[in-house]
Amino acid sequence: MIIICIRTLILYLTVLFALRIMGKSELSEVSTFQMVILFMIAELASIPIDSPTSSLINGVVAICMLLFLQVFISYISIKSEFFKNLINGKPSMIIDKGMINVKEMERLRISVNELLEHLRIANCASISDVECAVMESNGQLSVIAKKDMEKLPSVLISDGYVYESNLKKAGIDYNTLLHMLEKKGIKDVKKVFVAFYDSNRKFHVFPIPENKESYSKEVF
Amino acid sequence: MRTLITSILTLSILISIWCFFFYDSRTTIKNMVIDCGTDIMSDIESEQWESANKSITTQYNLWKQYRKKALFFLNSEDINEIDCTFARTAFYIKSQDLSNSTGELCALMTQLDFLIEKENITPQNIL
Repeated sequence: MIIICIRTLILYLTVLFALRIMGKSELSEVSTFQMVILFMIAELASIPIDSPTSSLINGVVAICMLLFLQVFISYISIKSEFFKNLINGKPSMIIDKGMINVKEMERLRISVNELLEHLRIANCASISDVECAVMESNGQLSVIAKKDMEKLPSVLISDGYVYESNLKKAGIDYNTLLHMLEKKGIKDVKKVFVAFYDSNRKFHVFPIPENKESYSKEVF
Repeated sequence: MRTLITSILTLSILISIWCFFFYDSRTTIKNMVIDCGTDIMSDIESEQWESANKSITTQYNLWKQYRKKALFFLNSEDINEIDCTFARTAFYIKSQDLSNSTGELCALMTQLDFLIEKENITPQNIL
């Protein structure tokens, strides 16, 4: 009995360690993949508790391996937009400029009633009030009402990655963007943490913090 | 980055300990199997019971030492089974029972082999 208590304590601490290392985002915004990882960790922890004959270290190694894979994939996803889309999937536009993308709805297997339900949850009584609705990669539906559309910022660079489609929407090309960055003293897009146009079409740039700084300060 | 390094470090420490144990136990177990297969088996077959008894006691003591480490990494059911087979073999040798002692010794060698075999990195074990 005492053995089971000690083994449970060790595994509890291991799972606690794994969840702390995985970080806050794993707990708050759980995608399907992350949820599967969390279930697997729970299952792996329960095996050595259930059967005292199986090795505790084997269970701990398996949990650490999952932890490493999860952290590694998250790290690669931050560094590569392609890998992020491959692992998490791309957000899907269900309503774009007030038009419903029926093909995308069929692909995602969402009925009109479900869409309406989600819109109601997002305080939009009618589809006609919606400028765009995006099914995010974590399965949540983001709804932007027509009245809020003008307030939305347009992100041009995120983590050194240039969003070509947003450049087109903003009506500028890559060279113009580089020129705007140069004006602010930044010569390489890779050094930009985030750059965007606000609702008044003012350009904002936050560079990647140098050395050990934690905060990114806006460049004026 | 810090979390990535922490997870890599944790995993590397655990895997290094495991590798150290695995390579150490491969040598220990292989030696045990060779000793059982040559020395003890030939002693039993030539009915030199005293020498066989001495050798199995030596192997049993070696096994007990190895067992302490192995319990951290291997399934304790497998280890207990080998323990029982060791005890049975030692008893049959003591009572000078030729057929049972050779049979148990063969079983012991297979169990020892299997202990290491199933930890080898092979497609069969992985799948």
